[in-house]
Amino acid sequence: MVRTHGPEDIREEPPPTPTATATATGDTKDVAGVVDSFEEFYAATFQPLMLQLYAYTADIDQARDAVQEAFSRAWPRWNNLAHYDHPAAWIRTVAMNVARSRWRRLRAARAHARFRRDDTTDGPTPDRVALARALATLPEKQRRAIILFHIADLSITEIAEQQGVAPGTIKSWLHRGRAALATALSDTETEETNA
Amino acid sequence: MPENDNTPNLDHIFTAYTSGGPLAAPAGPAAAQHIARRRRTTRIITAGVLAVALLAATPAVASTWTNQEPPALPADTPTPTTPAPSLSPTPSASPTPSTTPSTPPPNGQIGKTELGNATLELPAWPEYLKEHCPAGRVKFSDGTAQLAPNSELRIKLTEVVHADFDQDGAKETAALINCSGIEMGEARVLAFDRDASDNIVTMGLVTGQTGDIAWIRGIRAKGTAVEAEVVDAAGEGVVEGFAQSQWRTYSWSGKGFVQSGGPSMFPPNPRVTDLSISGDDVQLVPDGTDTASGTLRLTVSNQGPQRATDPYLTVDLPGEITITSLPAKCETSKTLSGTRYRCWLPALAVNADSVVDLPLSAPKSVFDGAQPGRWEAKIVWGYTGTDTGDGKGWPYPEPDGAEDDNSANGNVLPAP
Repeated sequence: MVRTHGPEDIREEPPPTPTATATATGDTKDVAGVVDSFEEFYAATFQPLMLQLYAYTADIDQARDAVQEAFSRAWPRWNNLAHYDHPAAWIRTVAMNVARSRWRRLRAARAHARFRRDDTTDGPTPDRVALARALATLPEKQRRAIILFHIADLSITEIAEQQGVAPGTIKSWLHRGRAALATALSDTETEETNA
Repeated sequence: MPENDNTPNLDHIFTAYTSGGPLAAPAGPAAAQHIARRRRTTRIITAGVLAVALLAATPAVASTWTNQEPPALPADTPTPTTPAPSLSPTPSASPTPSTTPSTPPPNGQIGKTELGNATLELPAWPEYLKEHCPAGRVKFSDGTAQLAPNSELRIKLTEVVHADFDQDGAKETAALINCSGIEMGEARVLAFDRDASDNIVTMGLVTGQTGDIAWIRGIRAKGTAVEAEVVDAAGEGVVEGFAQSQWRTYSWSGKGFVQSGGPSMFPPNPRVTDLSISGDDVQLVPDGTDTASGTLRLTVSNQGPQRATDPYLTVDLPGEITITSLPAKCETSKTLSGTRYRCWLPALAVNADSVVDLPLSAPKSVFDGAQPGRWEAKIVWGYTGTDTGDGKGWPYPEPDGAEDDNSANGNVLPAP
């Protein structure tokens, strides 16, 4: 458990355990072991995390603020986080928590608004928008499981460890989530065709 | 997870989703660090500024105090002649009828469990917490209370002590309470008593985070007063051992609680000083058939007000550029894009400068058609390098707004 100083009671998002094992397949699963530079870690993980958080929020600004906020919270703990096997998992957990709470979202938006750069990217493509919107129709647990499995590329075992539930529960969430997602995507296609 | 023929191919959709270009331009790690630093230092420096205001106001406070005849302090205040009523965990027992014409004072000694499950009248929280922390009549349960079950912040009752603050012959209760959540929170000490009907009533606020108090760490009873252990810095990222702490004494004046003992302000924190670093572009001159060399000259300064005992310099160099001769106490490590050098420099007095010359060497091929390399350097102090626990090993914060000059960068160029 990461411990803060000062206010003794400050509650903290439970980070993934430092010793969690995983078979990395690129992505944010992370620059494993001790990562020397916060800057390099940021450079390597920002975009993958953005993809995950955009899929989670269906809102580019919310996703960006949540990810940036999570990095802000990571930095004072960096000496510790850098020793985690998967520090990006901690960032993702915090970012999702930020995105899920209206108050945290607003606070993050206020804090990070002035640092937003003029976006030189083209914004999400229509396919990405469609997927994010379809995901937004799913119950949160199913959406989270799908994002962790399909976008963060975690295994079912890893997701179960991070979420603190049995692997069977994750399989169930994934199964139902995929079915609901397929329906939502089909509906979107139908609407577009009809339009 | 079989899918029928009408189902969109989710695997392809996700592959397409993850294989496209970037979604948004990152604000950058420096922006994230800036926010973290700002959060870390705001409390410290705000407290410092307020301390000056408090100092200016101290004579007025003192004169007010002397007019009010402070309660006798501290320790050996005679115990009340009336025996203290025995403690009963349940307030339902009716007060013992008195044979004397005057009613005995209510027993305001309330245990932590009872207080933590009572409805208490709480004064308003500071403006920035008002929408997150309940005030007025607040129902506590198991020592906590919050506006809604999913509120970000919650109130917690952490300590309870008892003393006869109003010297009526019966003890009252002082409680340390905080309302906090991630990265923000406020602690305060409140005093409670019982009325004649045995209801818990709020005597008043003993102290909150006013002036230079950034957090209240603990309380204890002393005579007819309550003492609070206050610190001058708190919050996420404050390095262990950074905060100064003091015990300050508060007594009941008849109308409210006022400080009656202990220091009224913190001295300047001896761990805050303003360091800076600067340096220019480096030109590498061919010094052989394959290599080029030059010198990165960094100037580290201490603008005060404290002597920096252990300045800690970090230099990042790209690719194959290396430092050929390091200061005495340095560590070298590889990064994804080059090499990081971390060096402890000799102590730096207030207003002193220290020039660090770092001889660089690189293969000439480094410059073949490539962008010029960039060096980056940072200076902090208080870094112990132990890194084993949170806060341990983290550098001390800079004065507010003074952190921008703690890093510098420049180009490493081939000589024209």
